[in-house]
Amino acid sequence: METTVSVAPALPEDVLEDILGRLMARSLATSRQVCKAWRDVVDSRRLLLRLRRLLPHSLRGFFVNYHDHRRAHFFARPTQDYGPRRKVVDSCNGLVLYQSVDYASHLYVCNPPTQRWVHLPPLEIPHVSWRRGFLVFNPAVSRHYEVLVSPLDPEKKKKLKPKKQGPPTDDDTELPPADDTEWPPSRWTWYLFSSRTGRWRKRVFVREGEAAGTAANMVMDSVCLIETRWRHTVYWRGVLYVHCRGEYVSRLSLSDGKYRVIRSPIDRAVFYNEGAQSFVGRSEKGVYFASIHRSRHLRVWILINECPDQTEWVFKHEGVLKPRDWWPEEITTSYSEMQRNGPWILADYYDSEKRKRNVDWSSDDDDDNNNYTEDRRKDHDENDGDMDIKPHDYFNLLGFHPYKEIIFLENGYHAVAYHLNTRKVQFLGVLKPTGWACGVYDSFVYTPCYALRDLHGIGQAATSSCS
Amino acid sequence: MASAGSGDEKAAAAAMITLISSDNEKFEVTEATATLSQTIRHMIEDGCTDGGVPLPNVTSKILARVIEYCKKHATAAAGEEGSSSSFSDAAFLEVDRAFLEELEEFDDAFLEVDRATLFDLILAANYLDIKGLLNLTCQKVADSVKGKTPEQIREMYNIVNDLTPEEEAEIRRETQWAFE
Repeated sequence: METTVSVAPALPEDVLEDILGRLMARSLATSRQVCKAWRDVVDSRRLLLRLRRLLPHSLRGFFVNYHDHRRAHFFARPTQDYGPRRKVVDSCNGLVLYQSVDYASHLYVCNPPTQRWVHLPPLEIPHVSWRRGFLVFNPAVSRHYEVLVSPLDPEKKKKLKPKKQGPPTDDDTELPPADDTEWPPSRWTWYLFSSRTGRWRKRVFVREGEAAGTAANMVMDSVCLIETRWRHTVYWRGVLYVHCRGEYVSRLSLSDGKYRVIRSPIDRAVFYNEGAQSFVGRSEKGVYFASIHRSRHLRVWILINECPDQTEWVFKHEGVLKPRDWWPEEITTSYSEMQRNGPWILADYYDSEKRKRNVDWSSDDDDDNNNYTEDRRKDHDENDGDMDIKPHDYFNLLGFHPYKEIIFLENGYHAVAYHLNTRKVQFLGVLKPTGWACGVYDSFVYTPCYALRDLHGIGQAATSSCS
Repeated sequence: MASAGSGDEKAAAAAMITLISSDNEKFEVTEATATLSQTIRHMIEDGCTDGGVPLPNVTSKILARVIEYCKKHATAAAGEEGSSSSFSDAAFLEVDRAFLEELEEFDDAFLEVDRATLFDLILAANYLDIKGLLNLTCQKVADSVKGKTPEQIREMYNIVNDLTPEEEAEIRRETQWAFE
């Protein structure tokens, strides 16, 4: 009995997986809209995650925080604004960790392409605004993520007072350590949120090997809350490398709860007295360490870490930064004009101007024209008129290119890509947001992950488009 | 292959199997043809094919098509075995190539069926565990879906859209990136 409409029989999930698994990204995304069965197979069989192209594989841009701005700005080639709200405190393999400016205990995880937000349960612990939050995520391994919040660092001024007297408890980790105690402690208590459980819990890391020193000599001058130099991390092969105040790197192994102190490649005291900056980041060969001291002296090391107890910093690069050479050919007196000279742009500027421009500098295509070599000198008008836009001696390390040996630097709102192997410098754009800002605070490299459909957190009900 | 041409092999090749469709039609096929189906191969190995193999999930219309496919590809498999012993012979390679082209043409023509039949073939190939046929038909469906809108896909395969408007909106938002 033939009818004109024959209802397609429901295919078994395995067969549907076989069919849909042959599709490329766009068709696969479309197939999710056909019916529930198709959507469910794409999701439950993780078909989008199988497409390597959709996993983080390219640098999209940076989230940039400013000292006096209550939200982060996105710096990239012109595109839609990812609508960053709040401060960005970390970014890892496509996910971004935000923190409320007003309520530091409120953290949010966001996947920008889908605009999925997860508002984590508030972390009600003392002095949460003094702590650092880190995101751990690798979509190639798992759709789940973890957020780590650091213990308090040793303080010079005893700003943090014990709340009550009593026998020592586990909660003593909340208090700043006494000067003569070993630091970091043999049992180091962090806070960990897991998207599997949707809950915060304490996570103790047990030290293997030596401590970095005593709490007293980890204190580096007075603690300044605007200090940004020790907040960056690298998540690499299941291990979190945390750049720590007092100038060392902690190697936290999340699988077995152990940690090791890796000494900094630079001498702490000398380094600190010279007012230098240091930074860890992930790049082509793994974990990188950069320092800029004597104002313009850049040095870079790579961490060789064949086994946990054998680590070594291998010297990679040394160079003197010449910011005068970085400025575009056409020196102008206003940022808004200069903004047009760089291929990258702050999203808010882009939004306000609504100026679609045909620019195509890509970090994945670095043989572009916009190059300035270190030895290329240009004459600048010393009497430029606008003090703000002159090169000066203070640099911000914006981050490392995650897949190439490139370091991103900021000088006087000027963002450049500095190629470690060729010393080639490319002007990216101007980091000055519209309106007033008193300087870049920090920034986070962003590598989008399109394969991630939803975010795990505290159940679907809790994921929302927070605004 | 080591025992190619032995008496046992010849006997096996000659053995006939009876397949019985859901509407009780009987099909006599050689064992070489039948064993392209892993499901039937296992039944033969277990010695439970006497009196015919009932296939309650496959109609005679579809089974006839499946057997057509298996016959052609069983010959191909036999042809490959034959030529592999003298693979250096250019003439054989030429024959091989011609045969493979013919096989491809066969496959293309074989897939010229309506959508419902295509789905039935997939179900049969899945049930009978015939890798080549499953691969062929799944690829056909995948190719037909490429570049189509959800509405076109639903129309093509008579799929009922059981997503709520809210779910649809949600999916569109989640996959916005794919269409930028």
